[in-house]
Amino acid sequence: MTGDTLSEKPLVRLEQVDCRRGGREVLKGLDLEVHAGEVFTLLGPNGAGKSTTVSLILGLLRPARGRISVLGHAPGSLAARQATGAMLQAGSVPVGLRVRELVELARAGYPDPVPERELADLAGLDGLLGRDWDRLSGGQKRRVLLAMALAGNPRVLFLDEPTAGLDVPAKRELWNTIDALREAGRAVLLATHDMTEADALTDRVLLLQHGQAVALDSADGLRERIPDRRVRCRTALSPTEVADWPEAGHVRRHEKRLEILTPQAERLVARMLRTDPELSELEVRAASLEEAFMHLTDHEQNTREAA
Amino acid sequence: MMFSAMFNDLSRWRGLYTEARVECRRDLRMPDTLIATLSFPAFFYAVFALMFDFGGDEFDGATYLLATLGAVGVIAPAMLGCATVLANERRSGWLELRQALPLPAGGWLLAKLTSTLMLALLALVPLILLATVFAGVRLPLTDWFGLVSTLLAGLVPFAILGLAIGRYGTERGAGALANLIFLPMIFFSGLMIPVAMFPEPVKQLAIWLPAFHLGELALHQMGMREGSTAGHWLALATWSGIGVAVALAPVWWPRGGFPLQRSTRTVVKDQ
Repeated sequence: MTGDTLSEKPLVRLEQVDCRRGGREVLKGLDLEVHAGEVFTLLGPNGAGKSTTVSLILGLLRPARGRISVLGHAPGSLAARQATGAMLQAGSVPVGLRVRELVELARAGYPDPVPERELADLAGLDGLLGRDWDRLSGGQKRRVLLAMALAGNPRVLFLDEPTAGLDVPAKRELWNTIDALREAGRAVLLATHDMTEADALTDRVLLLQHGQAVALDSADGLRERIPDRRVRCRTALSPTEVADWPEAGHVRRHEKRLEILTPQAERLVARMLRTDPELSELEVRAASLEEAFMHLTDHEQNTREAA
Repeated sequence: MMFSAMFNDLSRWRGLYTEARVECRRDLRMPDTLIATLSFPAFFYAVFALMFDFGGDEFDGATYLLATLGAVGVIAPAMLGCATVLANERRSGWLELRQALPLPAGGWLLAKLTSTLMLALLALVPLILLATVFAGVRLPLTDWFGLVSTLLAGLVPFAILGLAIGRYGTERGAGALANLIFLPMIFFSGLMIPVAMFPEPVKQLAIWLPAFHLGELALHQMGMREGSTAGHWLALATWSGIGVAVALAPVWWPRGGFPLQRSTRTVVKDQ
């Protein structure tokens, strides 16, 4: 889903929201809309305001200013909570409970909960229902928290750092589940600082820094905002030599290859081929989301400092 | 509209019931909680009432200790249990996650109260068995019922005080603080040794302690005290009010700047 094809009515809307915590302003003038059938990602470094945004939408915090609505209801109201599911970053559960009890507890509040068996299949809880929460691995705990978030068949799902601490297969498995939810028309609001995750899942990304929106676009759109492309090759040229060329930006040697970030990829490649005819394994590709993120947040930081 | 209200009512009751049931099951699965709850008053009863024949010929020590150690038995799970559980659940982030779920607002409190009542009732069972089987305490059924119901009703202020302690600090900190208050309180309230045996200045202290009033109410049920019980109930109600005020102080404090709250609230890793 892209910005052009978004459904008319947003399921979650924030308008000019400010939030203060401990006397400090942690969100300033934030606007966002999350629509059905999209994965909307809040991306930003630690302290950017991602978890605060999720907490505000869930009604766990109150804004100092601005309006928030969840499916037309006030955040934290019973109607809003019955239509949403949340997997929180700090979401640990009390010691001594079994997985089945946690699932039962999560299902108990919803008028029409997902049947236990179906929920176990959806979140991959096979063989875990009778186990003690305290004895589960990190990945298994995440799956239980996901099952709890999905217990009410929510129209909007909030996932705060859902794959933190997971190994690659567990991460992929969770991504597949999120993809399936999007396909089923659910809205997913994802807060993460994992660029790979944002890149793999997201329809739209809101880049946050110091509590302010820096950019809102698709992952591709964000990448296109920076002119640099990444050139990699195996060459006899030294990094210092290439760094002196006007076409080159940041240069480094990485795994026996030279890696150059440049806004003039064609001219740089032509010069490299002229200088080193033995050059091999040449790759030119768009900047990664991480590079776009660094570029956009650095730009924002410089603007703030200049101001 | 009517159906939606009915569904909400139904899910509300289901939420309350499920949370209370899950909480009770959890407590029954925790051996350390169970052993401490069941053995603490029973151990003291066995030592003082059975081994040392406390009271001798002067008064009925077995009945006296049944009432006062019964009070100890219900105060312990209420005060210590609620303090540590709240501190643990607050720090772990469970309260936040629970708040995001559509579970009924009072469900958490009701679940804690239900499980505390269950543990308190369990604590009384070995005590009553020791008293009837080995110490020969005989009471009419109505007196047994009166004693148990008084003790269970009287645990409420201690549960509130436990929650007030658990509202601040870590699980260990709250547990330590609750013990620091609990142990001197039950001693100076005359629940282990009668207040009459204390020196005069210490006797005056007892009246300010909630455990003293619960002990007196239990002794009244056993026919060992006379007169009105209203003053004792009023004292327990006052202590409940103090507990509520302490627990809610951060909510009422101007601009959320309550000093203890700031240093001990749940850590949010990323803002």
